[in-house]
Amino acid sequence: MEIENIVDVENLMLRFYTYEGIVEALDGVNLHIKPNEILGVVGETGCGKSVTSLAILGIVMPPGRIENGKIIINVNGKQIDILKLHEEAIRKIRGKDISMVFQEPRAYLNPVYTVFDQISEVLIEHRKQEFINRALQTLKNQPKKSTITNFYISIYEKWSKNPNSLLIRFLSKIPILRRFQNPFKKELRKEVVQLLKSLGMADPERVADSYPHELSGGMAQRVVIAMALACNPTLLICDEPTTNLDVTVQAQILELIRALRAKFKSSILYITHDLGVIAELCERVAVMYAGNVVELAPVIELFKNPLHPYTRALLESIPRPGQPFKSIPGIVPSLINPPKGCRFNERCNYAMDICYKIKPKFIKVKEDHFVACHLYGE
Amino acid sequence: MPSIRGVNMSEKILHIKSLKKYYPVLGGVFRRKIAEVKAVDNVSLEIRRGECFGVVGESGCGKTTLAKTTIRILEPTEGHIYFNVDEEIISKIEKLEQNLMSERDKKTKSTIEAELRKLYHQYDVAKFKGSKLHRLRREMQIVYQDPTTSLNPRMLVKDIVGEPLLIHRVVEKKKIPEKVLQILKKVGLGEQHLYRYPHEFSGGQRQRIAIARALVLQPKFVVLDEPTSSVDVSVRAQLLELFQTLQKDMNLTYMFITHDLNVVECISNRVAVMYLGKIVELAETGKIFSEPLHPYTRALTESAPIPDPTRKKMRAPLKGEVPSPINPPAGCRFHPRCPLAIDICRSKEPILMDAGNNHFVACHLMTKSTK
Repeated sequence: MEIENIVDVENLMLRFYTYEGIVEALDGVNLHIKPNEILGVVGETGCGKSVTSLAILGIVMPPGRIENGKIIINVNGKQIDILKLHEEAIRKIRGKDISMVFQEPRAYLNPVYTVFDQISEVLIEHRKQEFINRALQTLKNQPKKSTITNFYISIYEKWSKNPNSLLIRFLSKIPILRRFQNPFKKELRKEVVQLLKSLGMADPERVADSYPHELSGGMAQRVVIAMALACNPTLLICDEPTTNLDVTVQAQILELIRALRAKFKSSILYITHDLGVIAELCERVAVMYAGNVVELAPVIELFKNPLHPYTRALLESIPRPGQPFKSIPGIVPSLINPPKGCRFNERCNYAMDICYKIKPKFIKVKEDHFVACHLYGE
Repeated sequence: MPSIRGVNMSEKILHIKSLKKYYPVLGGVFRRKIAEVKAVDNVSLEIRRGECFGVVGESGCGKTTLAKTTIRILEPTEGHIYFNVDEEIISKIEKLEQNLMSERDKKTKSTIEAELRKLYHQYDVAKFKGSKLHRLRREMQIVYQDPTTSLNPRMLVKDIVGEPLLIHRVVEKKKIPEKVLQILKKVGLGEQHLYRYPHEFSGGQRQRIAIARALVLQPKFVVLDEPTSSVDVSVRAQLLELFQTLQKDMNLTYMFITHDLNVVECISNRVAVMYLGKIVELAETGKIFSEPLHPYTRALTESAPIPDPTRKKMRAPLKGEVPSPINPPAGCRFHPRCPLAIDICRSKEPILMDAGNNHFVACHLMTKSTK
């Protein structure tokens, strides 16, 4: 029996209903992510890389609408279809089992809260009970118990039975009395500092107390990664996390992601347009073009033996010293009126009659090598 | 005559001599100057006619400031720039400068000064003003990084590209449309694009419009400020191809600024590596990549991802980030991050020296080993 995939995306169709017309952003996307692997998604701007990841997280906003397909996620041995869940249930998964690192860390962090506030928000949302218990434990372990400590213990016992109890919520609004939260916050702080330390920050205490504008780009990106890893997710989606960073900082972040994967045992979906990063980091690659996954293969296989004409053209368009530049003729078609049949047909050197009529199926050519092209298969 | 990739090595189009550009940091109650950002600090280089001169470095190292100061979009704080000036005159100026330094007599000193001032006024781009500066703009142009922000969204393509002609009055008004069309065809656009607005184009096409606008005056020297960083891989190759053909057709000299080492390796003849406002290494492209001398260049080339999965690299990424240029580290500016730093690096600043074969490097380790 095969190992179960962490995520299975089947025939995902997504459209944006805009004033200019219906944008067919995703047209039958097929993907699967195996446990503890880094899957790279590569493609040009507007090919649907980011939208796919948003769909997996269940945050497609209007005018976007998912028309068809399945996104099955394996959470603790249970198979869940994200598209069938309602908002409340997805909220419990999002940030805990699946989390995301976005491209622009500065835009993603809230400028008026400290790093500690922002990371602890995730922890409070998903792991509140755990921290209440921890705080209760430390209170109980104190050798000398004052009256205040005994009062705290009684509150914490109530709190741990019902984390959302009305009484506690009421108490936390009253000045002086709301100090009962201090042991709880201390526990959170320990965890946050620990988390920041594991991301290779030299001075986690200082970083925890600083505001986003006090951090450099690389540091801010680390904070965002820390936030995403706060609940030890099974799947981490990275949407071009290094695009705006310098090469030396990019190398640091890539090294970090590689180390974290080993440490946290998460699968990673890494979205990028940089084939160099793909080659360095990923184990398998999905190549996307105009809303389709056109090829999915292990990274060495893909670079050595690219099957789809688009993949080939993409690899050839990497500038190499001493060789003339090769580019892909034509431009990416508009997705409002996409070409019929294969969407790459107008730019393809191997286009046949059938390519203009029928959309190629996503077929398995070899073990672990899938391609959507009429040149292959029957 | 020695030449690299068909570029004449001896004829120089641009001389930059100890160029400095400092930005004041204002603060306090009266907005006094409390510090300076040394964006470009004592940079000297020469660019040869017809070559593509690459400038690489991390963000904030002063690449763009160097380029903008060179073409006088920014006022240099100090230094001299000679553009398209005979070698003889430059050597004459240099001689006078040396005389001035060694001369003791006050009277002769003042006569030399007067003569120098006259020469600077005539030849030094850094001191140009008014109509002279205006005329200089015809010769030096720039293509910016992001065409979405560098093109006016309310102007038609024909007006965007035609505006330089209108301002500089190089052709009659009637002939402007003809010229515009001519240059648009050269960059791969056509008649059908004349009456459109920038937002109707894709990123690659927009960059072509920006290129057309820069080249319509037929300049000799063009600064390309990260022209390919905002476009996709497939379009990037198209643009690079275009740059090369245009260079041949119009006899252009490029200064190509980028942080993408892959691109610079393919397009430029010589490369300068910048770090915190200083050039740390300058050599032919092949040499920079095959035998980098400065530890920073080595780290930079190593941290660039290689699109080849079979080549797994053993590397330790460079620690830390670029320090603030307001308070650059004493001695060699790279020493806090340098894996090979020795004692002298912390106290004394290395100078850019020739390590043989026109390979310039500013590092104490190199000058030691060559001695």
